[in-house]
Amino acid sequence: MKFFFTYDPDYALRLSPCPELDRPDGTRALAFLTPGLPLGLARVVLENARRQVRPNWLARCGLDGAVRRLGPAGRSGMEWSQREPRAAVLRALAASGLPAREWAWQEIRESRDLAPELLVKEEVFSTRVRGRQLSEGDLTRLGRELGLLEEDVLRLAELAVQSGAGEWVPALVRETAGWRCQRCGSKQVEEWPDDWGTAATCLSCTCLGSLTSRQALYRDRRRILVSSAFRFQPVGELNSAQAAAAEQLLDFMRGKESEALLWAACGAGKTEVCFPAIAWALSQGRAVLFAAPRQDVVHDVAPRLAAAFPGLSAPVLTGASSRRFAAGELVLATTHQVLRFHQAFEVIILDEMDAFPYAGGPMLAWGLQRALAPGGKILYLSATPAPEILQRARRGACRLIRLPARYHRRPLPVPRWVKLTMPWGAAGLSQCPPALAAELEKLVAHGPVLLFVPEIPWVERWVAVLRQTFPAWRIDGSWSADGDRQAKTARLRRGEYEIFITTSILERGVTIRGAQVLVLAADHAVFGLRGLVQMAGRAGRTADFPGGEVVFAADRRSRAVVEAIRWIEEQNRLAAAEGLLD
Amino acid sequence: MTWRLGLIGLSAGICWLLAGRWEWNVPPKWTGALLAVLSRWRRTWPVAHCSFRLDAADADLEHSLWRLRRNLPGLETELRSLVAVDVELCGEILPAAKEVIASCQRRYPGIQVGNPEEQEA
Repeated sequence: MKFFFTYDPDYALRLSPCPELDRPDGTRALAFLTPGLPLGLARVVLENARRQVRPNWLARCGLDGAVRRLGPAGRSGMEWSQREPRAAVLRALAASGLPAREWAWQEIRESRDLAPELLVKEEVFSTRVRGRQLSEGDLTRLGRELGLLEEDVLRLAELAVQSGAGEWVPALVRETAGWRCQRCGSKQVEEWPDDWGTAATCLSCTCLGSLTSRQALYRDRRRILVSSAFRFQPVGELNSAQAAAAEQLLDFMRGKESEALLWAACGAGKTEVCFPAIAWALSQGRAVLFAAPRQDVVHDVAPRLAAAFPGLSAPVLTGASSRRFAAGELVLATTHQVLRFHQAFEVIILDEMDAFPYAGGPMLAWGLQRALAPGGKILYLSATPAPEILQRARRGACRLIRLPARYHRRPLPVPRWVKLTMPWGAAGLSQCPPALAAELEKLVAHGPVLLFVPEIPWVERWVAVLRQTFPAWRIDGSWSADGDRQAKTARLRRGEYEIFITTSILERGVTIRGAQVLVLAADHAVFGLRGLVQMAGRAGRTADFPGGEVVFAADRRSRAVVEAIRWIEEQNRLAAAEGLLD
Repeated sequence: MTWRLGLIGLSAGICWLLAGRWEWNVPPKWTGALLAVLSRWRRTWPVAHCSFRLDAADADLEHSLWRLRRNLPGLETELRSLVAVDVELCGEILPAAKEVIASCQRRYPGIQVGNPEEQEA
């Protein structure tokens, strides 16, 4: 998208992608410079032009403020009092080192009003973009969702900018230490030559669509509208420990602290514990974001929130969502989708904060902070918090709320280490070792077995081997890139498998009635302490099957295996000491 | 010992000063002849045709074409073959993309960029 310098006779010089919309009124001509430039370059030229401008006699007498036309509050662009801004822009362009172009000021006399059908769509557009930060590609896709042409959606965005409701920012900006992406904050870019000189493309957030320094981002400054017409209808009653944690969360929401961590045992019902706090925030007109690093977690929470808040508009935004720009006061999103928001939410709840990819790098944490409105609150939920946040909690920088017991008041199943030596992996595996077959028979007698493997190629291999060993059993598997993943997970939830083989994708946010857990090669380097605790946490989650068994099958007791067992025992001890177990 | 070190230092200084005079550049005629031989040799290579499909609406189209161009010499050396690249653009080509395509065709003559629908028409 190109931006044009526009100038009206009332000393206003600004940048606009649609100069025909930039007329201050219908009586005066508006000058605009052709050809247009990418926003990042145009802004630099504008700054340089401003430096060149000599204040006129009014400015020297300190009276320029009296004659300068003040635009609407927050309007992007720059206005100043001067003798000839147009010449200053041309001088700044000549001095900028940009390749020569045939610059020419043109005039618009005829006003081009928006078509009536576009004005009708304006309200829908405004609702969809509130609090968002959208690339040009996003705007085009939003236009498609609304049945608008690309140029029309740009016009609506520009109208919002002119009214002070939004702003255009360069997608990547050059800082002293290099480029920085304005969407994800990353400095990891690739530079390449184009007609204007050196451009850059962000390499970190390409999953949301490519972003280059030649593009602009539209940022909407309006708050998300929160309707008071919703009901909070808790599905079940909270037990005493959950109620106490919920009360502490409410206290956090009402108080002055900005960060809290709810450290709850796997299956403690931490999501439901947050519902009263969410209801309170919404009743106060505060927009709420429920984010998680993984799609499965978001899809698992969505129906529970919908049941507790009937009538509330709660869009689910993941990479698989067909409608990316649905509006709502309670947004459920993966942490990647959060990068499309800017200072939009007064309350952010981040579930599974220690999970990949959120825990894998600073980009998503940066995005989450950017999505938080000034003065907003972040609540982290985790069963296995990272040492950094625990340290912050110890220092008092973050409030710590603990919920060490499960909602059904039974202890967490403590994993059992079983020594199993065999040439692990996909290669060379032709039959199931008898010791493992015996363990599986024992576990299947109690319920469906979730069999975790450390590497993706193992899944299909073990599915084949176990189908051969147990032909009467229903056995399947899934991994992150499996196209059939959602359908298989749904069948797993309905209890349609005896054994389900998976990688760490199902280690969190999934509840399967009566599930038993077996971790193959638990001493593998990819299985860390937190992952093992989460996998063990899949067993015994429901009140009708609170037991369950967890087996860590490995050649040796790795440090992670020992620490995971110790972690779970510690949680059970704490829960017992607080009288939270029956 | 000291005078020896001084002598070594002095010699190093003189070498440093004279090095610029001794510098020798390959004469342009020789360079031209060498390049012509290389070019003739390369022309004997077979030509491999590669086709790529890119989305015309991709904001990073220019960058993708630049990457393609950057990796072409390496690919040619690896295959010991000249590589002719055809890029087919899918979807509607908007005026902004047309500008990008024109600029890339000017700068990267080894890459043919086109819209199959337009070519058929």
